[in-house]
Amino acid sequence: MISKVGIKQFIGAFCIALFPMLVGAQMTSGRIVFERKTNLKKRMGDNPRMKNFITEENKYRIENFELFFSDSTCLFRPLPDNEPVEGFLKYFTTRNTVYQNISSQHKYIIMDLWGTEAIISDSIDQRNWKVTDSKRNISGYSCRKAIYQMNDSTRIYAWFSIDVVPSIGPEGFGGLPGAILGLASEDGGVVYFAKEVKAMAPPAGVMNYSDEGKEVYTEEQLKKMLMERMGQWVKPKDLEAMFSWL
Amino acid sequence: MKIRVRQFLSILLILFCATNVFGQKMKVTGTVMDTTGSRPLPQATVMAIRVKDSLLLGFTHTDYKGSFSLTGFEIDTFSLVIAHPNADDKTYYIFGHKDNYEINIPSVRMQSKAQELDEVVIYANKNPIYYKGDTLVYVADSFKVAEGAVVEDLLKKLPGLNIDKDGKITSQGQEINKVLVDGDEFFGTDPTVATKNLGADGVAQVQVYEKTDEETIGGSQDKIRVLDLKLKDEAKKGYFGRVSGASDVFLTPLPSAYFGSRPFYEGELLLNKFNSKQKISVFALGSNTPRSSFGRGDLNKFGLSNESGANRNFWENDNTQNNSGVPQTLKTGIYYSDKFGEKKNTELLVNYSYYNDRLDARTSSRSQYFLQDTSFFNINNNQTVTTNQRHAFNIKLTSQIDSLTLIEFKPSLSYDIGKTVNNDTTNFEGETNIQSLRTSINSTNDSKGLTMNGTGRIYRKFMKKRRELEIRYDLAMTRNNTNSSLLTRNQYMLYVDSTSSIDQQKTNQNVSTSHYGTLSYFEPLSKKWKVNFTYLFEYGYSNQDKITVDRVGNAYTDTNNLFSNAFDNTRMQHRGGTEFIYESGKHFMSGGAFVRNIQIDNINRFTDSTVYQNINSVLPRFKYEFKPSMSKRFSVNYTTSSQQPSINDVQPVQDNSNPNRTIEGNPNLKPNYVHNVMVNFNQWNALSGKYFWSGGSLNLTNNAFANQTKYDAFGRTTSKTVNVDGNFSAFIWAGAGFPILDRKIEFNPSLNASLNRYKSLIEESDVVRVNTTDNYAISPEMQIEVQLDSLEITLNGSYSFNKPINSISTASTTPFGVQDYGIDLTWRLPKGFIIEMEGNYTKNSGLFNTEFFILNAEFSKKFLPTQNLIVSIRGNDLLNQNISAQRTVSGNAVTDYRTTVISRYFLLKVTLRFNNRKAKEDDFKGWH
Repeated sequence: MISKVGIKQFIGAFCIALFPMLVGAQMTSGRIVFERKTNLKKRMGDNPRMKNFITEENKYRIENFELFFSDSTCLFRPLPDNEPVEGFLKYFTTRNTVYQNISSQHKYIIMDLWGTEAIISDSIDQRNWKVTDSKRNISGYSCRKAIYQMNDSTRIYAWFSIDVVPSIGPEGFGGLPGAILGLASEDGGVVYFAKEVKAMAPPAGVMNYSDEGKEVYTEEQLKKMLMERMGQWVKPKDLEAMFSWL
Repeated sequence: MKIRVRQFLSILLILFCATNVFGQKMKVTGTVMDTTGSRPLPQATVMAIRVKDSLLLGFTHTDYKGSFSLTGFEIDTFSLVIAHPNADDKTYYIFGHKDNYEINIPSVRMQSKAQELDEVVIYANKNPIYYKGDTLVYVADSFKVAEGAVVEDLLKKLPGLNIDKDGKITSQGQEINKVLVDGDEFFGTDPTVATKNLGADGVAQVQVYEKTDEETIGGSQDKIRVLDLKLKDEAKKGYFGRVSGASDVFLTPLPSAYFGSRPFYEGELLLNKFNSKQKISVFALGSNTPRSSFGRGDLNKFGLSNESGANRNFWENDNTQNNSGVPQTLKTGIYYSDKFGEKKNTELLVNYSYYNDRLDARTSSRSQYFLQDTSFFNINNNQTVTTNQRHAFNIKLTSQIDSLTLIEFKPSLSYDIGKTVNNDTTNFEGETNIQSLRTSINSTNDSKGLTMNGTGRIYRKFMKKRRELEIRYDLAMTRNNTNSSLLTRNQYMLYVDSTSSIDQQKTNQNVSTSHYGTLSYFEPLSKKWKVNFTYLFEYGYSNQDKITVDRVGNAYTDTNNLFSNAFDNTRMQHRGGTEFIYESGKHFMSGGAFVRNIQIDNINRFTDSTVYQNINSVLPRFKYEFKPSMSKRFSVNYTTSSQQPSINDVQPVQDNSNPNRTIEGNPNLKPNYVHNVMVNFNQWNALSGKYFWSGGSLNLTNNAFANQTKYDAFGRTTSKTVNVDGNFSAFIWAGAGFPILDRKIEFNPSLNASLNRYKSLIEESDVVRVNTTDNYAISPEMQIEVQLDSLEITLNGSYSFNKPINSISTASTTPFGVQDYGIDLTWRLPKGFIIEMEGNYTKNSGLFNTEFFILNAEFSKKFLPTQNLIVSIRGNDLLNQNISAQRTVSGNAVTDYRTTVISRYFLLKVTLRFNNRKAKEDDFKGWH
């Protein structure tokens, strides 16, 4: 891996000499820090039991994630919380670690299911993206908006930048002609925004994952299992939503 | 490792999984170049986005050679977006088709970001159309036209463009105001000179864009729409021309009770020679058929629109059919333009023209005037023979001194000789049709006039972007001498042997000089805001001497003081204006006001009395335009204007040139004040060719000029102009275009509706009453155009319904309707035979019932290998139904007119066309 990156750096330097006007252009490996802001009221608002616990003060849950990427692989994982989260509220949001390999179209998702790890090994989802002309700037990168119809009631907006070449994104998202630097549900219930984008070689081996000796499921299997085991506490709709972000 | 790694050669190519292995896949290949156009651009993103739902069909990146290949999805209509961080996005529209699924875009040159122009290209059956910023560009070669076709044929094939039978061009439903060739006017401003004469094969690109109208005085922000033909280099010089003659002497002239057996004729000669710098045009036209009247189109055609003069009224009839009488016309002229200087930055334009026409107009009318409790009838027969001659000479010199400075110098001179002989008899009848008065009027008018105009203009841009300065001086001078005679006889039928008469000779001398100085300055305030200051100063002096002499014995010696006067008139105007302008990609907003002071000193040297007017007005205006996309536009425009009464309306002197309709002045007239609000919306879809336009306008006039009419016992009138409040007019309009079957058939429905309120005053036995007329009108219309290879048909049908309501009398308020159906057909048969036909059926109903069907047809055959010799037989008004009958309803009067016009006649016509292209001219229609 390292030597491969080294060659690329060399070629990159060569190209800089050849095409001086292109300096400052596209990135193919690096690290992106995402801030995820979840509006718990919007996510859980229609659950009468939750209404009493979610107030105007604690309705926003802010978490940070990092995304390492090279031209065909990436790792998305949570960063430790800056401040302690009160009580059980931390269970309302997901904290997944996602490995994606774009060349082989394979992913591993390590879900933190209320403290228990569950590993999904599956192919990368093919999402139908609608690309719009709308553009905005995220952390200094010009991004184009794309829309994904998750289901009848939910639409996901993704802002991708052609400046960051690999077809990657937060959670299990990707498939656009550039990295997704912003991801949001249409109602603003969940919003991922890149607050830092840096070109770098990811730490050695960080994007490698081996499932040796571990029990793995496909998405369907795990969803079915959870449905059976957790159905009495978690609404099927919320479970569905949890998986649709993978 | 904190070093920024920049890598450029990582190629990421994702091919979307094929869902149908057996179906034909789209494949787009191409090479992307950087903004210099010479170096390949690696790592550019190429995306295919389906048009109907924006679905991302696939994407790839260019390799180190700048080339890409995108495939793996079904044939579809999609946009191909090429994006790179260092350049602006470039968009191509690709219409996939089973015959058009492999597209190669040989060289894509990215636009640098600084230009801020989004370029969009459309590939429909390999026909690219693209947008360069707000400019719509058609690449001409990609549209198939017949061999030897002219530009007009090409334009007809372009999506979004429409040409009607008079050659009027609309783009996305909006009229094109000007056609330019390589950014310049081509033999004047008439579009058809270029569109009907230049070969389609010489055109590289057709561009449609908006530019600021330079013709208006005083820093106008008005935009006009321009169609610019960019020629290929080899097409930039050549000649073309036409000689034609037509007459009915070889046929048997139809005898007519009124015209005898006079032969009809039409003749035309036109020679044009041009290269990239020089244009020379010589023309002559003569005829005595109704087609001989020169409309504005003809004037533009021969470069005469450069003529500016005070007396332009008779230019402005844009009728190709003269329906006002029996005409005879001759017009000839020469037009020359050249460019000088190393960079061809100085342009000289010279033209001279001579115009000679005669019109014999015979009209009979019957009017009914409704008063409070009675009404009058007025039966009138009038013959007016008008002859006019005009010599006009114009020069325009424009020089781009440096990249920032433009100067322009534009003098013009014209000399007019006119003569009018008028014979008029009128019978006045009371309500019971008993004749009370009979008058006859014979008058002659001989006039000679010299008009001189000049414009000098300096326009300067500055190093600071968007700062502009214009300094302009205009001069207008006229000298007119009129000698006239008036002989009238009145016979009072209710009295025995009671007659009266007027026998006068008059001379009228008019001299006027006006100077205008204008200064206009634009200063940018920020990226999007700028401010415009304008200042206009006008100083004008005019004088009018009118001497009327009564006949005593055999000599005219007795000066008549009532109808004689001498006026000196001085006019001074200061007008200052400020306007703030906001312009972003999608929004345009401007708002400001003019503050104006006008002082008019009007000295009557006969009575030594002075009419002094000192008028201050504030004229605000506001405009907002929203362009959410390049093919969608919404605008709101509010303007105010104020017009001073003309000096003839103010002067307390009578004008008895028609003694039955005496006019007197009103020194108390105030200027009017008009508010106008106009809203417009239009939209076009490049993919389907559909368009839609709509709008509305409201005009409110305070202190409107209205007629106050006094009737004497016989129904003769004396009128003066007075101010009234509450006049308004409201209009709404809408229309659309729906092409089907690859634009072979297009439906164009439209609708117009209006409500007008105007007031007039009626004075009857010293009682003045206000007559308010409300006129409601609505007219839907449908037009269907069919364009096949050898057959073109246009069908249209319209109905207009009018309902006038008068407050003073209900007798003249019957609603009336006009139905109009037309067909226009051109059928090109093999062996050079062409059949053309125009038919128009009109039916009036309501108070006034007439119907007539005018059918014209032409049968022609083309000869020579080039097909440039054309022999044709034309029949005008085959059914002999042409009448010129008209009803007008105004205030308290209803008038039915009937004008003698030329009806059925036949012409045998020979036309020879020539040009340097040695190609056959398939379609020159419109050049009769």
